[in-house]
Amino acid sequence: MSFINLEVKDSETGMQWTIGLDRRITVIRGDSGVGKSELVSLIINPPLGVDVYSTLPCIAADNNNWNVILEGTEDSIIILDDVEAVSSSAFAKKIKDTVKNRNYFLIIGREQIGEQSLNEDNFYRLSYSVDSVLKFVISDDGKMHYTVPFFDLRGVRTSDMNIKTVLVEDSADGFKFFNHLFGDCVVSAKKW
Amino acid sequence: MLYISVGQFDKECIVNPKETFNYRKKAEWFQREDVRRVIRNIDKTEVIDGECLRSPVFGTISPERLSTGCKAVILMIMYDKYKVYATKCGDNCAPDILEIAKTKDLVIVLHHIMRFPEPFEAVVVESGVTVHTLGEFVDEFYKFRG
Repeated sequence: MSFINLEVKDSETGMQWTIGLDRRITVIRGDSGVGKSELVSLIINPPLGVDVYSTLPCIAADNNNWNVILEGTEDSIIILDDVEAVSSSAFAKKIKDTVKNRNYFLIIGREQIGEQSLNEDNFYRLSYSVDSVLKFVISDDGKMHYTVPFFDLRGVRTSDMNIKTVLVEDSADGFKFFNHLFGDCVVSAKKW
Repeated sequence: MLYISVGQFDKECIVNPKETFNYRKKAEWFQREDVRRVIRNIDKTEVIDGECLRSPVFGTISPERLSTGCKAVILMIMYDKYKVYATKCGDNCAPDILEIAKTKDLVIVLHHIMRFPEPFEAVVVESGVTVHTLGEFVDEFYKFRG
C-alpha cells in the first residue's frame, strides 16, 4: 500500500484504476491508446457514476499554467498530462523551489523530466527514482487497471557480465543506481 | 525513408498533435485505407462511416477521442511539409510510423527513445548517420541530448 493512493472507480462499467504514488514524482508512460489521458479527464472532471478516491486533492496543470499551479498549490497531487514543459530546466527548478508546498506530481508523458534544454546555459537536473516510472497493466477482463514499474530490472543479471569497472559521471543518485546494479566495481569520476 | 530529429522544435514542427488534429481533421481523411489501418492498429477502433468510429472500450465515438499517439500518426500521413513530435506516440505506434516512411520521406521529432522493431532504417537528422538498431539509435540520441 503506497503512502499516497489514487483510485478511480466506474460503478457502471466496473472499471477501476489504481495508482500508488510512493515518491514525490511519479511518471506514467506506455503505449498509446491505453487510456492514460482518459483517466486524467475522469480524475479532474468525474462524470456521473465515477468516483475518485485520493489521499490528496488532485489538480491538473497544462503547458500554459504549470508555473502558476506549482507556485500556488499545496498538499495536492498535481497531474501533468502530455505537458512538454516537464523537460525544461525551468520546470525542474520550479519543482525544487516549491518543495515546501508538499505537492506530489503525477506526470504522464515520455519526455525526460528536467533534462537540459539544448539552448539554456543554466540547467537543473531532476532526480527521480527508476521505480517511480510506471506503466498500466490491464486485467484480462479489461476492468482493472493498475501500475507496475516501466523498467523491470529484475531480469538484469549483472553476474553474467564480465565487467571489471563501471565509471559513472556523478557521485549522487546516478552512482547509487549503478552501485546497486553492479556493486563495488562502480567508481565515480567525481572522486578522481 | 524515416528521418529522426532529436533536436529543438522549429516552426515546421507540429508540437501539439492532439490540438492540431482536433482542429484540422477532415471527414475525407477517414475514408483512406492507411488512416483506417492506423486507427485499427493503435486504438483498436474501426471507422464505421464518415467520422463515426467504434471503439471496443467506449463504443461509438468521434475522432476527438482517439489517442494522442494515433492522432499524431494520422498527421504524419496527411501532412508532408511538417515534422510531427513523435514523443507523443507510444512504442505501439512505431510499426505504423515505419510503414508510412516506406511510402515517402517522413521526418519526426523524438525527445525520447522510441523502441522501433528491429531491424529498421532511419537517418538521424543532426548527424546524418543511418541507424538500423535500437542500440545505434540510442548512441546517436545521447550524442545530441546528453
